[in-house]
Amino acid sequence: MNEKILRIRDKKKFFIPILLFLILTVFISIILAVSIGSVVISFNKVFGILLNSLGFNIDIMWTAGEENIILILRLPRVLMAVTVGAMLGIAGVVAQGLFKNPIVDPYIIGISSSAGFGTALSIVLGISGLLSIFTLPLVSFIFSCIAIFTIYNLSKTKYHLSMSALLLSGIAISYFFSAFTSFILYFSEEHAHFLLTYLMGSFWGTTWIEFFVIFVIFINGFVILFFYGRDLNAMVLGDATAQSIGVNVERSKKVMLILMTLLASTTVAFCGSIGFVGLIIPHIMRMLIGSNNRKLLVFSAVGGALLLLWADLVARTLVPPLELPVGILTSLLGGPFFVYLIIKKKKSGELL
Amino acid sequence: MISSKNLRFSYKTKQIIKDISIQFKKGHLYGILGPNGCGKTTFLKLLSGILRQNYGQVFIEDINLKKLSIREIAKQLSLVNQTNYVEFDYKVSEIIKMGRYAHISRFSGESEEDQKILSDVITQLGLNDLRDRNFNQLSSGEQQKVIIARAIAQRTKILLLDEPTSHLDINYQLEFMNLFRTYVEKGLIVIVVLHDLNIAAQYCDKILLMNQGGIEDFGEIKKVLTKENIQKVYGIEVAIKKNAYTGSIYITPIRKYPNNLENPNSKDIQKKKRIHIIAGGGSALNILPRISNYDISVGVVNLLDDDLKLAEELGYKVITEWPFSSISERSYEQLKKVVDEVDLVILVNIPFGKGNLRNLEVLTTTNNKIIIIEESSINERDFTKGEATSIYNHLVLKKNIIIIRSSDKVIEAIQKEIGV
Repeated sequence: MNEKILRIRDKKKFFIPILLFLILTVFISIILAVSIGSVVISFNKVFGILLNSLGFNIDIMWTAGEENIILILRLPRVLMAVTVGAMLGIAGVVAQGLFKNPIVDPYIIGISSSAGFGTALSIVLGISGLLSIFTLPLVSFIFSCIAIFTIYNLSKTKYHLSMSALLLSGIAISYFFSAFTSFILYFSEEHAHFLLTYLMGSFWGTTWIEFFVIFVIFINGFVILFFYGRDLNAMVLGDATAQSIGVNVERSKKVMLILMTLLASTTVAFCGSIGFVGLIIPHIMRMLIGSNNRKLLVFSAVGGALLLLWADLVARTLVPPLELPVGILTSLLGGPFFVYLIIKKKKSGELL
Repeated sequence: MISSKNLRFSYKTKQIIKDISIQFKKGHLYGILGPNGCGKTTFLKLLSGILRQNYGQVFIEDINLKKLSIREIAKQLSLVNQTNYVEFDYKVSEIIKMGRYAHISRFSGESEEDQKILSDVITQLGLNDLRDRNFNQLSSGEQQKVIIARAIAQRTKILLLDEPTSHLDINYQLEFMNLFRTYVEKGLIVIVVLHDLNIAAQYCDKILLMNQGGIEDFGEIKKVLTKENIQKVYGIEVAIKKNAYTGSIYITPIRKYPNNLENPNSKDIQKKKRIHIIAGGGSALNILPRISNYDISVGVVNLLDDDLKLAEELGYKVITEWPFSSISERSYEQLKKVVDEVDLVILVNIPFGKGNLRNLEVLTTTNNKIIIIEESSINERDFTKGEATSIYNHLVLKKNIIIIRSSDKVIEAIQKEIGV
């Protein structure tokens, strides 16, 4: 018992150092990730290119090709992985908090399967190029919204929004859309490979404009959710108690549900469905710093960023010149790691 | 002051709260009692604005609750709900801090005042050692204490608690009730839903007794917690006596009526068979509690007699005599009348002396059925130099006498003679 008390005290004490350490790790990892690839570019050059592009006056000691690789190919991709990881991390915190259930992730209510179906449909119908690179994201996003709108209305009663009904109808609609996607996959041989790659998630060919769109959504979602974090804390006491301490529970639920949908569905729209990050990152961070959702949002953003950055790095360097879908890797790494955490918890007697 | 006016609430077609108008005033501890499902929790949720009524109003002072925002209500009243399950691991101090949410903007941290209030509450409730502990690892008593601390940290004038002492040990029950009293002395209104009638009687200033979504009675303890009210609402028979230690009333449940909860049929109660017990000196202690489903009278017994005390606790009728005095003419006449009126008389294995000889004599005057419990020979119990033995031997020859050798068989014998 004493050990446990000490551990919680420690969590508080080391909160800021851990955060700084993680953020520093993210920056170092970004530099590392942009230097590694089919062409390895030295750290010196990477620093030089980055500082130069930020307006610092640096002696040019690299080729134009190297500069292009860093600035046009790798940097937007790495930054995209970082941002998407952060988005999935915080969407996961919100999902677990809203459903008061530590084993859900933001995809559970059908966000990814509906987006996947939308993509599959527009590809087989041949309309995927209609609005250049933004067609698929837009279609995915619209389908996610249709799914969420449907289950939202199914779960709304006269008095409140039933989270258990939301979860159940979300799972139902998720299976429904998955079935349609499988149907399309089964019958369209020529698109099957592209579709599968897309569905499993990848950062291949990310452009700056896509990154900026994602980044704007991330920053807005993160800031608003951070201020709603304490509502999420209060809701852990139950809706009635949360309301009695002054939280407008129904409004908070709606705001957070909308933001979670926005965050998760835009990541699916741009990068496909990358599994496990939204489930595992909040978990790991909760073990590290406790359940306070404000801290948890910050840490899960950083943790998600770090995880996805490294997963993408491995995905594109493991079997060159091939690129693995990053979703395969997150699940591949995430699954065993999760089992490891369970075993560790079991050994320390914390498993209930 | 918090009040409701013509408050009604129904869920779908089922009416749960039927027209409640009531006022709760400053500086009082109110207990809400009533059987499960009578609407206590719903009423508390309506008072706190968690549920919205279909009809009627709730007022805090003169302000209609409907005109206040959720946050403004949270500054006026705090609520402790029945279930306090917390899914994730939170520190005790984090849970208590949630009580300050209504006072802190979501864009700012807690002020020095908030910090002071939090540390005051933690100290007041003796939670200093627990403040960094994980809420989910506390005992249920400690958890409830944390939840109450959270409500108190809200610093409201009104405190509503829904069964805060259920499934807690008696030490916590008393600790919490004492705590509520201290807040009442400070001028708060505390309204507690309780299920223990005696805890309510001991600590509350006033009781609201609810039944089927309405007010059965409201007011002082002694006015509300009567045998009749309890029988009507809970369908049980109770004995009410005074708690010698606290001066409050003390309620002992005796039995549950076999008929349905809503309407304990009072005619049935009157139709109960009457039995008179001749006892004394504690000889009937093991019999009296087992025959409460009959209409029992006991006597003649002296005041201070153990049998008398038990009979009174059980709510039986008694014929009494002064301590160490012989049975007077007046008591004897009373006894003689009763012995003739009842369906059955039971003579317990008592010793006879000059003082209570008339208890034996009276039996020769009646033709009513008499069960005599003879666990030891009359000779051993005769302190009248043979007078009692002579009457007794004469008595046992009569036709209306049934003799049993052990008090264990008394129920059987009664049932055989006059039915259940």
